[in-house]
Amino acid sequence: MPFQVTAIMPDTKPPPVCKAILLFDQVIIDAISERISLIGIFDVLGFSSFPHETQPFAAYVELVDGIGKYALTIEVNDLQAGTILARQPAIELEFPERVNKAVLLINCARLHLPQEGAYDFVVFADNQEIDRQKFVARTVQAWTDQGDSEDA
Amino acid sequence: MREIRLLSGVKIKIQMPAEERGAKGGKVRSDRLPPVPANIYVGTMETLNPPEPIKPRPKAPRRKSK
Repeated sequence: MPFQVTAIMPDTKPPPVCKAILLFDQVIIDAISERISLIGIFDVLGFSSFPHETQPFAAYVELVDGIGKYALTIEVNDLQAGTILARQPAIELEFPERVNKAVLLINCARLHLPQEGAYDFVVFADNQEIDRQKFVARTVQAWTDQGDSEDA
Repeated sequence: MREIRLLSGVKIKIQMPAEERGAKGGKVRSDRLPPVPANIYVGTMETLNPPEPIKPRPKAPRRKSK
């Protein structure tokens, strides 16, 4: 009887790997070198009271090791209430070659934060979670006159 | 310097070198502005009102580091 080899292929391609998720205030891209400078990176926001709205901010997401196309979604989760506060509608992302890198600059309008505590910025590829970045909102008593000031 | 003001007010600036801007740092002609690099995707989050409950979703398996 001839020896038979059966290849077992997974039915789904592996998702891309997330190398960085950074929340920041502003980005500058150099036109010639295409170098990216992120200004005002933070993981803590300070407010005089809650509920409170954040200033507009953005997120830098760097993905590598993807194969082909993915539907990428991003959510902001309130971990205390167990709710989703904001969502980036699916972006079609393509990796023509495995060595390619994709950078996402996600703009986030004013977020209504209902209470002090931890929030998660979660990245999904084809509906699978690939990574998350926590940020904390806390009360800062010294900033009573600057209600929308953000901690660095 | 090229400046794109997005809806929520966060700025993405594309900075030109000094020789492109001219000796006095003047503005660059709009037809000479470079596009956003091809591997950079720009998106905007939408606030959910009311917030939706978090749905459990599968986590991607961790890959071994090379």
